[in-house]
Amino acid sequence: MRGIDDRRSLSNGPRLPAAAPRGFRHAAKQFLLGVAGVALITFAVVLFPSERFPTPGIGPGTISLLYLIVIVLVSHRGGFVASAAVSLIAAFSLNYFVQPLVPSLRVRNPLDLVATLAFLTTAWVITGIVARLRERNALLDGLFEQAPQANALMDLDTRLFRVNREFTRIFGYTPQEALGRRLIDLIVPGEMRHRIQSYTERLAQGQRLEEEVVRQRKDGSRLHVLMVGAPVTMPGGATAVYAMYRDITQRKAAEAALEALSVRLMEVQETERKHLARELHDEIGQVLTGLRLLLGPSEDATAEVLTSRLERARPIVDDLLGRIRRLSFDLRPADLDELGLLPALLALFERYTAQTGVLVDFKHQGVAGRFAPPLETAVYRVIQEALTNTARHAGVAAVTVRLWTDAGKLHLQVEDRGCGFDPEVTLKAPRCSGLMGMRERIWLLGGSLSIESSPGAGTTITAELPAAETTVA
Amino acid sequence: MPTSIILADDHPVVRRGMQTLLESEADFSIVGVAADGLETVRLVERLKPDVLVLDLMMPGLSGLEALRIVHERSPKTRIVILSMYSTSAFVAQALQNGATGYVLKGCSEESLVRAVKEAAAGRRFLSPPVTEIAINAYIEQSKTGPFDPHDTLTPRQREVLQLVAEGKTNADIAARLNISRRTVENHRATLMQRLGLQNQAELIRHAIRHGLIPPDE
Repeated sequence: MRGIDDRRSLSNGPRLPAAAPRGFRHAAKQFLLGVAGVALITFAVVLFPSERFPTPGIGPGTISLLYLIVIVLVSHRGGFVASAAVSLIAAFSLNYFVQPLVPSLRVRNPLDLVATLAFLTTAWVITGIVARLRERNALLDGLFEQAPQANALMDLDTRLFRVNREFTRIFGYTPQEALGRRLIDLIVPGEMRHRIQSYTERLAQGQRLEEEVVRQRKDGSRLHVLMVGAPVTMPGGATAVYAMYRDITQRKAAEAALEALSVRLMEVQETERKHLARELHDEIGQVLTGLRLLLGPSEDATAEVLTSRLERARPIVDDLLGRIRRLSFDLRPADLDELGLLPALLALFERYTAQTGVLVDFKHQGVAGRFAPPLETAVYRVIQEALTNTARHAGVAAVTVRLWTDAGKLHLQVEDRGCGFDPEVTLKAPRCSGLMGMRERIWLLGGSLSIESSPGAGTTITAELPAAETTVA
Repeated sequence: MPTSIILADDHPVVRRGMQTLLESEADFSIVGVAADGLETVRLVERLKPDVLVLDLMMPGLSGLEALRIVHERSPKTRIVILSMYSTSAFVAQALQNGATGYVLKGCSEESLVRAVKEAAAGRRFLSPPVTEIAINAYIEQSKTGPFDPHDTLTPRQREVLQLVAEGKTNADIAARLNISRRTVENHRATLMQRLGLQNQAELIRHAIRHGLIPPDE
């Protein structure tokens, strides 16, 4: 158990663990166990009546083999120092306790060199092999455990036998909760379980899976994941399934937001077109029809009648001109393209005050130049929308607009002391496209917009945008 | 000697209408017509007329740009702007670029005739509803006024500033305003940045200057 813990704590480090350098205590314990093993074998031999030697099967060769087994075990578990020490003790014991019992043995050399060398070599070779295997295992463990995606190993029935940390993080199941259970019961939502059969079949045929699917967490919440599955052959020849999952919920949410945005853009465009069509047909078309009637057939009209008709036609034409001018301004103020943000805003305020009676207190600094057209448009439209909201909902006689630049940023602020609202509630309302639209405009240009308002305390809308002035007017 | 005039407008119908209108005046003489900005500049440079009647929106070279160049190269030519746009911004910009008169398309014929006459005499003329007062107000507004970043603080930020200046901790302020400590920290960071303050000492100085807390004796 301790060994596993050690490895886990080491694998947190930046380097993958080499052969785990275990503590002195561990090596000492293995050494003592080894000594006990050697002593036990020796004791058993010494206890035997000496006349039994040489009994077929048990002689110095067999005993050396038993010693070797102990040395291999110590090498495997306790490292080279412990196993070398046990080797020396085994060689000593062979010389002093075992060989004297066998009078026929020719070699009687204290600390038999051959046995010592054989034992030490065994200890060295085994320790080396074990160290290398351990290194490789640690690397594979690290790759599985530390992978940035959730990893799971399971049999063809989706019964899990290994999961990694990311799996626990994404799906909420600890290894204790997941191992031995079927993946299909843990993370596959009920209505999708029937599809697993086809996955398993494809995997059994050696195919790879790659699919974006919905899975569920331990707490029942759903998430989008990219799933990659492949059949792997386990040691022993059985086929298992190696599955990887990456949480793509955020990407999916961003895609959905983008989709919603383009849907709304199309809606807005259609609404605008409808408005424009109605304006052209119902207003301008009607006036033109009236004008045509007025200027209609006039073969038998007297000069006086004609003059009076022309007199009546003039104000109608003036009215038409006014309508078209307003319509054009509403669609896209020429000021914004030709003159820039500041003049366009001043024109907007002039018109706004004339239409709504709400005075605009405008303070600005460092905004007389030209900015990138998308930025000018966004700032203009956001202020326009905010002013419209103020006139419609705030119930005030004046509104303050501030526009200033500061450290490469353009700030705008629209503030009223009106009746205010609860942004939490209003922003959640489905028909709140105005505030959402402002946010989106600013957000698309890499800026941020904040709304501070509460019932009875007025509203302050503040936005900041990264801005580079293009030319100075 | 009659007043020599060049007409510049890209719409043939409007151009013909104006030509008819101006030619009916005895002491006006149309010496040339142009349909875009570049042509206008070349023509005015060559003929040096007394008055140029210039459409503000033309292809090739925008009317405002053509106006600036003409005014520079033929300073004696008085320029009357003919425009669809009545916003003070356009009028002010046109006057700034050297125009003498500004007439709205669609206003009465007399206005244009009068504007040309006034221009020839070297006097400014603006056709209604454009007024000198509106233009002056516009120019005044477009100037950068005294701008105090302190004014840009929201009511909430002001409350936080006040309490910070009084020496309250973030935890105190959070409890007092019934908001989270995190929010207080955000407000605090935003207002420091907006006011260009680096540290607590500067914040105290700012608060004293704005009368939020009494100065130390």
